[in-house]
Amino acid sequence: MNSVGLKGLGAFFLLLGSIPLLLQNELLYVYVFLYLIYASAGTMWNLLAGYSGLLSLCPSAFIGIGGYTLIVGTWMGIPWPFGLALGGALAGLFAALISVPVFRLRGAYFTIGTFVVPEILKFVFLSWRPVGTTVYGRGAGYPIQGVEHIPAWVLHLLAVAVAFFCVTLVRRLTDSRFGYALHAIKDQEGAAERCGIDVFKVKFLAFLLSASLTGVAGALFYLNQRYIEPMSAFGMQWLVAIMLSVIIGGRGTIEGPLLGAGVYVLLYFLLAQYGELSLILQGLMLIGLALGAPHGIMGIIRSVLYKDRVVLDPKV
Amino acid sequence: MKDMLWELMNPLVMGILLGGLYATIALGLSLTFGVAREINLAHGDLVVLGSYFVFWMTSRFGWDPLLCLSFGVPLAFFLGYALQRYLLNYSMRLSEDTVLVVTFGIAVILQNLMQIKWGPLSRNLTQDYLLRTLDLGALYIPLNYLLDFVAAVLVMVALHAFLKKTFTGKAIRASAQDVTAARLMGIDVQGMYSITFGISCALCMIAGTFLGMTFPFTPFTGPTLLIIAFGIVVLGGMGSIAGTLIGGMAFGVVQTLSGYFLGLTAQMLVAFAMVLVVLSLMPRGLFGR
Amino acid sequence: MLEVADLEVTYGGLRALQGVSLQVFPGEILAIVGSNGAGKSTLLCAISGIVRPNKGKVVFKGKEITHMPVHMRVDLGIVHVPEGRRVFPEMTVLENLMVAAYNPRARSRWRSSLEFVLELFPVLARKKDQLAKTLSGGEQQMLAIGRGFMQQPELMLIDELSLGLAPLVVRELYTVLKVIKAQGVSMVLVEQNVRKSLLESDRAYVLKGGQVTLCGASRELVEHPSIKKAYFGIG
Repeated sequence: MNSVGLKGLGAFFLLLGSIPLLLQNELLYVYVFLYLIYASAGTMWNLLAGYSGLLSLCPSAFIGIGGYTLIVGTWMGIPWPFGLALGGALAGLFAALISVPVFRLRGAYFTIGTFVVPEILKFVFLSWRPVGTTVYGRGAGYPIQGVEHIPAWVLHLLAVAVAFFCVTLVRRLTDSRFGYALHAIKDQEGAAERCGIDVFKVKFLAFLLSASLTGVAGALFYLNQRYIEPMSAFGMQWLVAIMLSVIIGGRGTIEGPLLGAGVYVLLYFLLAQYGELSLILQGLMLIGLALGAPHGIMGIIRSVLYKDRVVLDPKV
Repeated sequence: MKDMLWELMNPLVMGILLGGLYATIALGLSLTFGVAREINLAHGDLVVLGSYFVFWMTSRFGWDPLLCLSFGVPLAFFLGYALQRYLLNYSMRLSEDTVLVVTFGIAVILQNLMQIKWGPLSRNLTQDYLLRTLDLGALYIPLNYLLDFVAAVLVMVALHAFLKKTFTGKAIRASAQDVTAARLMGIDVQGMYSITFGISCALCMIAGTFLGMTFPFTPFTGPTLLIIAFGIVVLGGMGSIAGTLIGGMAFGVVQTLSGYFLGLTAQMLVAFAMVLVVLSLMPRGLFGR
Repeated sequence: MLEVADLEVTYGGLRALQGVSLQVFPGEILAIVGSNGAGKSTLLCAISGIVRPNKGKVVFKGKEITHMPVHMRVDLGIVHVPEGRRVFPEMTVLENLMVAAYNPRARSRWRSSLEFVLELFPVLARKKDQLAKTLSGGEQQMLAIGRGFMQQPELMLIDELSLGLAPLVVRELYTVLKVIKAQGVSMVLVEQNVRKSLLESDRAYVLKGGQVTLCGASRELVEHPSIKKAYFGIG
């Protein structure tokens, strides 16, 4: 059920896109850029975790692949716009490869299976240097190569474009037959299969799309950051950030990741002063939300607005 | 040919012994999964927490790591019991996903707490007497590997005896097989879950101690342990103690053999790959239900 | 001994029991009779605590237990032998019996209870180290009743004793029930086999569509015209 129309979304992104350009504020660019990355990655994670009932713990794998494709690409002379697209493509390809073992798994098995993936990649990139010599950290820590400073507004507009694309795509998908299939799979996978839904194909497609676009978001992030290293690229921080963004806002809704990412970015900068304590607090927040407000802000809004009419999905 | 087999004996035996350690690490997970169908994403981090606890005690009081267990095991049991009783039982009632998110949160918290307190560099609990090697002709067996294996077997025998012989042990097994019937027997199933998780955490403490005595560890070793433990549990069958030991040995042998043929870095990769293979081929395990 | 007042139980929108009231007197065998879906099992589950009613009360020996957790009711002496036996498949016969003595009251006397049960069911004594899943239907039912007895019951609720069992076995089981009754245990029987349950019980209630339609002495109910019509196809 989507309460936000295409016009509303368009207006929102138009606003989000233009205000930083008008104000030309450095800090605002940083906030909004980060927000857009989390909103994109969050929306794609939501497609799996919110709409399909697939609690995937591997978005960081796709972020990392996207990022590494871009950065290593610059070392290999691949121009960064192409690197962005390639990052998404490789992330999607990787997802296609691992979907074979991973989709045979149900429920908690699937979750652990997806947990393995970023750990494997982290390990690979800690031990393997695809190009050049180490500059940062252990293993494959690289700065961007041969790319001059890209003006903030360019990165900003790219981020807006990616986020807008993600959100409209997911909105379109969930409101279609595909979306109903996802919902059916989330509810009762066995029954969905017996109704003639090709469960593997549907899950596969959702996973592929989620992975590719998450990869693009990751590539864009690392284009901005201008260096990458394995511990943070494939680390838990991404997973925590994405999960919180979606859960705060509300799983299974379009507005959820958009709201949640906003809250998260604010929280992130608020907590940054506490250093390592920040992640501990984020962890506590995750627990608190899961127990106290599993449906996030949207859940609270909906139960207030619709009172007796809406039954919140207990499976969230 | 005979020479090659002879040469393989060493990594093979080391693998089997290592399997004992792996099995101890996986045992707690096997227990909670077998009894309560609960996946604890913080399991690996709890093992590492055990390692750090013992590290703290040995550096503070100078005790031998094994002595620290006399403190650590009951402490771990009570913490685990409380965690399940006041947090996880409630999470389980909400939904399966809730447990995953909550235990994931706990994992993140533990990792960063350990990092704050002890720093990101690796530590270990090796004692001098452990570094000796037994020289049995063709075999060179590090003493700590042997100790790990002996400890693993002792722990498993003790656990088995508990589950088989005591009333509480039987009640736990009953709760694992049929929740409603168990309740009708007058068993407080939620209480059984709490006890089981307490035992699981105590096992993590033991596993952490022996892990620390054998290998270096960092605050971020947890996820790796979780992954391997899960692979062992699925391979050996949930809730089957013997299965966990065999699964552990299988992983141990695969690891040492691939280390022998392919080198150290490949070892971990092969282990991870094996987990994925196991997960996709047999979600129901060889020995379990 | 047991009093159920105005019980209403709803399962996901469906009203399984409505305005059900009954009484069980000490030392008697009470039969609950009715066709499938009439709510008989639900009634037993409400008494043992598996199911909680939205309205009404359950009072046992003067104490209200309507919302008491299942395992605490066992401690009071309410034992429910569920439909389908539900023995623990991966545990041996002996272990099944022993785990039933888990609650403190039963545990203090587990040895004598065990002796009694094994005497009652020689088959179980012979197969005591076999896994419960290897037993036949009749043997599993014996095990289920044996388990029930291990719990030191004061009130035993037995759901569908004869389901899927040969008449010879059923007769044996009912003989055992009489022995247990002689020990002072009150019983509530839910049975598909209406005739059998009326013959073996002292009093009976008839449930239809979640409501009590008839009650009284079993001897009289057997002759009751509507019973004869509905369940015996006579008249």
